[in-house]
Amino acid sequence: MKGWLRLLGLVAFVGLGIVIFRAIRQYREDSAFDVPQATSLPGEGSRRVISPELLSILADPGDKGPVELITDSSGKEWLVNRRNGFRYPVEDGIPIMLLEEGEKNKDESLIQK
Amino acid sequence: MVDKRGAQHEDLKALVQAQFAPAAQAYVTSRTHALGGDLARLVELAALTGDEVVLDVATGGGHMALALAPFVRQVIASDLTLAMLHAARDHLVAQGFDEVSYLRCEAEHLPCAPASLDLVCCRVAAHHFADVQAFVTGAAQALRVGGRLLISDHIGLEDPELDAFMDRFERWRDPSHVRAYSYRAWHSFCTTAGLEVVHQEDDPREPYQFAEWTVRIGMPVAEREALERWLLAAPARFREQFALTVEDGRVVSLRGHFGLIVARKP
Repeated sequence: MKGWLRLLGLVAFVGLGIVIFRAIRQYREDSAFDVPQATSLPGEGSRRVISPELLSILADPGDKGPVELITDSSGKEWLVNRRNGFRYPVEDGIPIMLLEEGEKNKDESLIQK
Repeated sequence: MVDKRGAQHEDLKALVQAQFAPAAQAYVTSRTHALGGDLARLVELAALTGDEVVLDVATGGGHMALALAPFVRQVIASDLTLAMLHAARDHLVAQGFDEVSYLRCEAEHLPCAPASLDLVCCRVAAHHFADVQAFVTGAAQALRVGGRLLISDHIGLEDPELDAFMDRFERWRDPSHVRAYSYRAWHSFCTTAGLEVVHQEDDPREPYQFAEWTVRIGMPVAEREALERWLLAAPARFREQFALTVEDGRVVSLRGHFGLIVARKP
């Protein structure tokens, strides 16, 4: 009887270990897709984003109309003028709102008529 | 097609960026820029309530943005030169201000929605702009009614000879220096843009320390020496006006002419 109890305890212990191992592995896999923090200190390496306050005042430098923040398939952010297709890049959280940049990166498929 | 004026503007933009990108950190640490008495005075003249959204145009080392940040809702620091923005951001974050936003743009084409800002300021930078009228007009459009434009800059002199002399030594030292505009010219820019100048005053800044002033901008040794010889040979009237000090036959310091201007959107 005592031997059976020992064996049962051993099986329960191994089972618990397997459950914990799987839980840790799942957590690590899930964490790989976590969204980075919004802001960071220099050198931390995480991505900076445009603040809502800045977004609320931004306009196209040419026609002063609204611009829309979009993220392309590679994860890069752009501020888009839907009236002419100009796209202004966002680099490290800093919008590059130069007319020549907007024109250089123009995408006519983004124009809304 | 780019017209002649447009080409000159593009040349100037390239010159400004080439001038300031390598010197970005020097402008963060420059005593003249970091400790100018005009900073506190500009904050005072801004008549802040604490709820302002502010655009600091041509922020350079970020000193104006840093001075305003504790007293307003939001500061946006802008500059044409990306390296300047990075240097300013590092500086402000190190000072504990990580809520300031950064924006790369041209002063003549501000990317701001109409009536979206309470205050536009520009400290010791407008003399680099290719088209100051375009800057002031854009700022006026971006300001809400009652909003203010604050300018701190080199100010041109009414005496044409003295003004030409100052223009010569400023542009000799810094080829991206376009023009120091007189108070009269600033009044004209503001009036044309629909702003009213409500205040102006001279800014008695510290004199330029000739060695530091010419080295910081990256002036070649031969040019520094040529400028020094030219200053030493200037007539007494010019030397007195610009407070030229000389020791052992070498220029120690000289004084520029600066002023502050406040305009309001009625």
